[in-house]
Amino acid sequence: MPETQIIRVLVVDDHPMMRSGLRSEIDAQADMQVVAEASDGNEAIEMFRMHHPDVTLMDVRMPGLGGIEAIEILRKDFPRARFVILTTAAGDIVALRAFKAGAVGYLLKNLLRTELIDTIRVVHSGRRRIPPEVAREMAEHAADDSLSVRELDVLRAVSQGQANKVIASELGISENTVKNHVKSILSKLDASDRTDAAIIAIRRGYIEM
Amino acid sequence: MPFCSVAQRSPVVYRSAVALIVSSFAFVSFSSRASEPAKHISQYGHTAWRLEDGYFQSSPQTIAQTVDGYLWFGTPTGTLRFDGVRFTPFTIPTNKNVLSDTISLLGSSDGSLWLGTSGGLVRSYKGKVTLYPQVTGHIDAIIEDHNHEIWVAQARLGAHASPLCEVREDKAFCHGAAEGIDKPYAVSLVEASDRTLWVAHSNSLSHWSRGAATVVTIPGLNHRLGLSGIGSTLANDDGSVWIGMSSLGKGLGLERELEGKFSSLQLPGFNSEQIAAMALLHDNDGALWVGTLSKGLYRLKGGVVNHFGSSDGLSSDTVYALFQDKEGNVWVATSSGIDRFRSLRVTTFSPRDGLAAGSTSAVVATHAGTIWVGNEGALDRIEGNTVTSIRRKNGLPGESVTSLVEDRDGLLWVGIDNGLATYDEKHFSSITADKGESLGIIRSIVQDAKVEDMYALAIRDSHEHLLRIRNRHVISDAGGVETERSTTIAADPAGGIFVGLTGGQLRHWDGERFSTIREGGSDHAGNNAMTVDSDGTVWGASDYGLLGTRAGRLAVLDKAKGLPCSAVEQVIEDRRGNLWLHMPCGLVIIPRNEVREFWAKPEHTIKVRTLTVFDGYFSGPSSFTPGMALGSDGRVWFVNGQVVQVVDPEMLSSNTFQPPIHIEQVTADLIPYIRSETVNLPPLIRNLRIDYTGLSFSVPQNVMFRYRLSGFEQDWQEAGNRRQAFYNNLRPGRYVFQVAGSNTDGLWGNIGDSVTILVAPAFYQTPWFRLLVLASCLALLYLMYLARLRFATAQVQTRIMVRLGERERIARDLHDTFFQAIQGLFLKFNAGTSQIRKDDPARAVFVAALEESDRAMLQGRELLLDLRATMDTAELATLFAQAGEDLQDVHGAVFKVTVLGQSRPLHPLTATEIYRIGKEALHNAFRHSDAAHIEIELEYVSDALKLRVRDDGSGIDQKIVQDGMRKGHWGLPGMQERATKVGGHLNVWSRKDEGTEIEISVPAAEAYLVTNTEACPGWMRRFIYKVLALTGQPNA
Repeated sequence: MPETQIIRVLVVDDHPMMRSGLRSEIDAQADMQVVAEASDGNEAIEMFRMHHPDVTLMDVRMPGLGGIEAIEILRKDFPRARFVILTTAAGDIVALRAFKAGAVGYLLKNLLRTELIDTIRVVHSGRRRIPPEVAREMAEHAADDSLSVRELDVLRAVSQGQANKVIASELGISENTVKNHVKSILSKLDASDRTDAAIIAIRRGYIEM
Repeated sequence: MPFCSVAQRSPVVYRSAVALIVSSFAFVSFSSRASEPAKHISQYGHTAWRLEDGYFQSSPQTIAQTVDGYLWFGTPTGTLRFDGVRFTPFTIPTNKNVLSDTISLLGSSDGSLWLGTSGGLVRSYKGKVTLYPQVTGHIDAIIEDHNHEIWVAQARLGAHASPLCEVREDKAFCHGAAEGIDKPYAVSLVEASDRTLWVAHSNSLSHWSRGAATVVTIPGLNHRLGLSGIGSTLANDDGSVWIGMSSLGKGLGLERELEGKFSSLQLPGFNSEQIAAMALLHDNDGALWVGTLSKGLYRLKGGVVNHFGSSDGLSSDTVYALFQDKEGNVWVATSSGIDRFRSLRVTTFSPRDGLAAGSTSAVVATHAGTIWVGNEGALDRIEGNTVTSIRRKNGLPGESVTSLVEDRDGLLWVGIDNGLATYDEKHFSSITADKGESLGIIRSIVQDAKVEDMYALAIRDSHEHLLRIRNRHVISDAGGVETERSTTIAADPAGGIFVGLTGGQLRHWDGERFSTIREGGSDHAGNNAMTVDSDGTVWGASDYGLLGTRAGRLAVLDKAKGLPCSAVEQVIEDRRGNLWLHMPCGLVIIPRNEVREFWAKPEHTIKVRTLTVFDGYFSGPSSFTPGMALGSDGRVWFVNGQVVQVVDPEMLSSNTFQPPIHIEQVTADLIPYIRSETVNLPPLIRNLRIDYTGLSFSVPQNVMFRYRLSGFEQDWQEAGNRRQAFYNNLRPGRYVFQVAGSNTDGLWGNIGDSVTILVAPAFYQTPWFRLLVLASCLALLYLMYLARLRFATAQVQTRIMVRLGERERIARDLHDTFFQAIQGLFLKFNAGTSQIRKDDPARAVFVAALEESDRAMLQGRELLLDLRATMDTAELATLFAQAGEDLQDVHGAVFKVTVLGQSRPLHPLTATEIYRIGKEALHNAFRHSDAAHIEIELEYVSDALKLRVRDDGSGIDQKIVQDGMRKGHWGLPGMQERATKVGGHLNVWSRKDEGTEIEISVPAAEAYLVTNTEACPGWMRRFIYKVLALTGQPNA
């Protein structure tokens, strides 16, 4: 591998300790260097335009502009930019959204220690990198019907522990409609009940934790 | 000493005169009790109700008594019903053909009341009124014949009317000229003993025998033609008929018709031709009562005539009607009122009956049957019912008669003024002391039982002297000092005399000397009189009781021993050995067996018979002896200082007449209700009055009542002689009012009458309403409980939600900041570690630590998930039902959810765990048991929540139990663990090929959002317990 080729990395995370940890891990590599840090989506876009990093580690959930949204914006101007999603969840939905937005790597934060460097390298080399758990999850649900926007609303409410009646009044629809939505959600998520659906929704990333 | 001759009418002559009269008018006598002399009307108890006292609006014309016991008085302004106390107007239901004036009345044997008015006949029977259109005249008479048929005599109908009508059923049939009846009107009617009818007209009578009549004309009455010349008729047992006419003169007045011949009755003081008899009556004693137009009342018996007029107290001398009621009282209707004469057990002789004065001192009965009465100014003599007096002008040697006695020779000894005389039916002879001085006031005089000597207790110079008289001479003044304070003497049957002293001492004089039989004592003071009975007991009447001395024994009979009071004035023994006591509270008779019982058992309480003022008895002291006398006919005579009275012991049979008791009216809140078997009253009766009566007319005030309102009280109320009962604020319900009455002698009958009273409930007194109120109260309580429960639940839920929110915030904070920081930190460590040389032992340590940290982080993440994962578990059963339905897609077992007990809000965290455990068990059952039936049972009990999942499948394979289930499921150990986490307890029962049951039990404190104690504040809990206790339910 060419020695002069330093992989320039942009670290985007709202948490300074996390950024600092990532920086020290990356900087510890001879062929990598953190060229900039950003704490939210907007800052990430600004830093990206300033430094044109090879690889951007992008946290999904941040105050202000989220990671996936930032990727979508940047990919319009920089179609070749390499983005790695940093997330705590192994849900397929977040992953799908991320990949749809243009991410090429997916890093679970609990696996950072072992996967971070490899992932940066793999992505930089032009390949994609998806953790096996996420890949399995995505494959498992590849054939699933996706949830409609309305169903997502209902699911969000359900996972907050709200009763059908409350959901109905909040969304301005009838209780029966809510029931139907819930039925459809359970079937699409293969959930045995509402609790199950809520847990699945969180796990799969329909809903952020 | 002068001897006085007696110039009175000879008794012999008198008696023969009586015999002559009786024999010549033998038909007068219908004697039933020959022994009783003809009573004076004044010897009856007389009571008058006068017009001016407001009892009537107009003069009573006619009297009747109905079978039910009421007396009825007819007046021109209506009929009055009388119960002895109250006069109640009787109203005939309005009918223009019937006037309310009542001319004739009859109480027939079937219980009907018949009223004859000036325009017709009315029958009232058990509240039903019948009118007889065939009878429209002026009804002057109504009679019931021997065959119980009713006959009426009517007048004022016109020229061709039929005046005699008979009533058959509801119709009347009238007879007139066609059957020989002389006149078209009749004024009086009587059935003769031969069952023929006498129909009286103005101046003639039709003697009618079914279908034919013979006419008897009374020429002397021709001037009365068209008027009521004949006032009254009365049949005699011998077939004769009395005819009373309003005109006087030869062949008029009161005449007796027998076999077509008329005769008059002439008795001393009574010429029937001069008597305008308007009313006639045979009384139960066989006496004839005659009520006259202007001369009052006569009573004729045994040839003796007695008169009673307005000067004697009769309400008027004009008598309209006579009637004797069932008790024997004779009622007289006069122009000014009603008079009642009732027989008294005690017959009184007063100055009105011929007594010389009203100051009797002593009474003695001779062996010949004459009664002598010492009086002021006279010695009265009673023979039969006739009183004659021997006065000074007839030879009485003084004014005041003191003591009396008849000696064994039949000579009467008479104490008079300051001396003593004998009387031999012709002459009085004085006894004087030797020196010619007077003997003193003779208080008591007796004859020695063995010798001829007489003893007299005399008071001279304020000292008592016991005089012994032999051959009309005072032979000794026995005693001297020893006779001081002596009050009475009595002959000792064994000879000598007993002397009673004021201190109660009893001494005996045997002719020679005194001996003391009984020492006195302050308790036994006063010897008013003494007698020696046939058993030899000496009885002393004292103010403190009856002192009995017998064989040296002294016993005192007083109030404590059963006498109605203690003071005794006189005492005597009658022929049957009974003791008669003259006492202020009554004439007391102690039966002989009671006297013997008294001696045999000193503690025995004696039973006595008492005659009181109601029996005609008057009390009063007598200072001389004897105050009581036993007549030769057995009658008991006594004086009281005023009059002399007599009682026939043989006529004292107990009064067994039981007054009919009637409840007359029920009045509720001033509204009278018609008396029927059951009286229905409206709700909310405040004052209930029940009027009842006991129909006794002799002494109505002595009829006592007791009553009871069953349903209101258990015990009988003693009402005395009150004739009303009052009750206040009767609750709704069924009551039976019962009343019983005593007769005038205090003999109680059975329950006399009763009426059922139904008080209707107001709407709020109905059982339904009460149930409703109770139910409402309970419902209200339940609502309060629910509200409270909801409030408490809401409070707890808010608390829980706050806590859950907190958990969620903590989870998010941990996740967003702490976890990120740690992760970052680990990365730094990782970076540092990777820079350590590979052979450096420290590197291995760090790597290991970092790997461990990964696991720790994973656990931390799981915990976070748990912190957030709560669910809406409001309807656990529904959730299970849904889960089961979903699972039926997996395996088609029959699935059932059962909820036992009242479901209650659950603690969300606990419920989540329970749900998870239950769902896991369901999963297992559906996926692995291959069961045909799966059921889940949720039981809410007060101290725990229980969940049971059971199936009839293959049972749990031990391998599965140990290995756990597929990923995401945690097997039995996991379930056990979760159960323990919420403080619960898991039980598994499983048998190969029989099925499995898993039971999770979680204590109430963990399971329920609000426990019972939280839901109810103390006061409410106590209240609920009270309500439950009141409604009789066991503590729930």
